[in-house]
Order: sequence, then C-alpha cells, then structure tokens
Amino acid sequence: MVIELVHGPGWFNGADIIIDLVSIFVLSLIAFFSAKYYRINENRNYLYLAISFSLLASSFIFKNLINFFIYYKFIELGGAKIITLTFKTTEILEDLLFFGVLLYRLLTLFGFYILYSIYQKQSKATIFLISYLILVSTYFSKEIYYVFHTTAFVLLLTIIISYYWKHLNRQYSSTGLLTYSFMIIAISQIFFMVAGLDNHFYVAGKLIQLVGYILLLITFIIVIKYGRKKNKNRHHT
Amino acid sequence: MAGKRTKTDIIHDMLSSIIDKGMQIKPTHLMYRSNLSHSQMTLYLEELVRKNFIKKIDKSGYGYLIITDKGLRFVQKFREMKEFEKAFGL
Repeated sequence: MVIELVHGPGWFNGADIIIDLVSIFVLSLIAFFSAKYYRINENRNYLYLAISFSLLASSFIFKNLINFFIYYKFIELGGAKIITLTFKTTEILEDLLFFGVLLYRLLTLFGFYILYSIYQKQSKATIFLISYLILVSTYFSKEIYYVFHTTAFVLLLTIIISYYWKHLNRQYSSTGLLTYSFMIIAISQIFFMVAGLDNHFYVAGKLIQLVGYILLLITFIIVIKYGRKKNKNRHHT
Repeated sequence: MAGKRTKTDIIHDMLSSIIDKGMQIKPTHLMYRSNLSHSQMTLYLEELVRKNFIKKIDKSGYGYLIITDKGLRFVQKFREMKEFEKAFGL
C-alpha cells in the first residue's frame, strides 16, 4: 500500500510547518471560545462549531508532525513534488506516517462537513451517506492525492454558500469577512490540487492558506472587540 | 418576531436592567423591566444570588439588588457571545 503527499521545493521546508502552526492557533482559538460560549448557553451549534474547529486544528497538528518527520528523517527526498509513503510492516515510522496522513485527511474532511452541517440540517440517512463518501474519498486519496483536496474544496464551497446567504440576508459585515476567509482557504485547495505538476503551486497554496487564516483571525478579533465595545457603550449610557 | 427567551437570555436581561438603572434596582422594578411573573422572578433571583451575580442590600429601609463584578463579567461574556453568534450565523 502506498500513499501520495504533495510537497514544496526544498527551500520551503519548515515554512509550511510555520504556516500550519498559525492555522492551528486560529482554529484552536475559535474552538476554545466556541466551547466557552457553549458552557454559557448550551446551544448545540456552539458545540458543533467547537468540534468542527477542533477537528481541523487536530488535522493540522497531525500534518505538522508528518511534515516534521518527513523533512528531518527523509531529507534526501530533495525536490520531489509528490512524496510516496509505503506501508511496510517492518518500518514503524513510515507506517505511522502512512496512517497519520490518512487521519489528517479524515479529520480535515469531517471538520469541514460538521461545519457545513451546522447550517444545513440533514436527515440521519444523509449524514450516514456523506460520512461514507468522506471515508471513501479519504481511502482513494491514498494513491491520488488530489481527490482529498478536491473533496475539501467541494465541502468548503458548500460552507461559503451558506455564509454568503447568511451575509445577504442579514447584511452583517463580520459574516461577509468570514465568507471571504473561507473563499481564500478554498482557493488554496485549488493550488494544492495542481501542486503535483509544479511544487511552486504548493508554495502559492500555503501562502494563500496563511492569508485565509489570518483573515479568519482578524474577523474573530473584530467580533470579540465589537462585543466588548458594545458592552462598554451600554454601561456608559 | 423574536423567539422564546432562553434561561441565559432572561438572566442577561435581568442583569442588563440592573446596569441600566445605575447598578442597583428595586426587585419590583426588575420584575417589570425583565417581563417576568413574581414566581419566575423569585426563582431567577435565587439563582442569581447563588451564582454570586447579584447581592441583596438594604438602603433607607428599602430592599435593593446590586450587580456584582461576577455579574458584570457575565454580561460582557454574553454580549461577546451574541456577536460571535451573529457573525458565525449560529
């Protein structure tokens, strides 16, 4: 059994780990606040949002561990665009990396799916069906890496559409910023899809991902600051 | 039309009413401002005192309710939460 993983040029090794660390920080921050708010009002949507962002943060943690081992243990890979890890029962590290990649992909796709499910209520049968398709998609992404990025892109599109309609209906500027953040993150997936052709696309994808998560962080800060400001204004009137 | 108020919404409305009245309020005023019946209000007041969100004091022979720092922090968190809820469309 083999698994494919896209990879940047040698000079970019390590930079992608830092970009993923920024993503982990943003996702964990939102998950933490969402869990905190769930304890206040017990609205299940906060819980689902916390689970979704926690899964996405965990997926990046796995990905970073994988990249760390790949860069520091398999440094001889040089300028390869796609790394192929083989499942051999004799090499524990490579086997762990193999399952780590699958777990990272599974957590990412389920994280996006749970986020989508907050806005689109579905029957148990639909949830079962989509969960099955996510499992199948993760399985087939082993040998064709872009199956994973395509599925992530499709899930992100559904999330963007949900936020866009909410923004249109309520005209709430923070929801608009949230829509743009997820749009940018979705665009990064397009670059990862074609990174097998030229690994500079991987660099572009990572930089776009960084912009997306920074915009998500800015949106979050604006929301919290506005809530605090509103609080102070009310106290002074 | 706004939906039915949750327990947290009611607690926030009660604490906000105290803040709007200058951090202290008479229980009857609080009842009218929070749109609660006497029995509901008694239950909520017990909970707010137990959670240390408000304190009962006597002032010139009248009973008053004052908001504590913990109560003020709850209001701040609640308003942050509402902004978060609006932004994420929860």
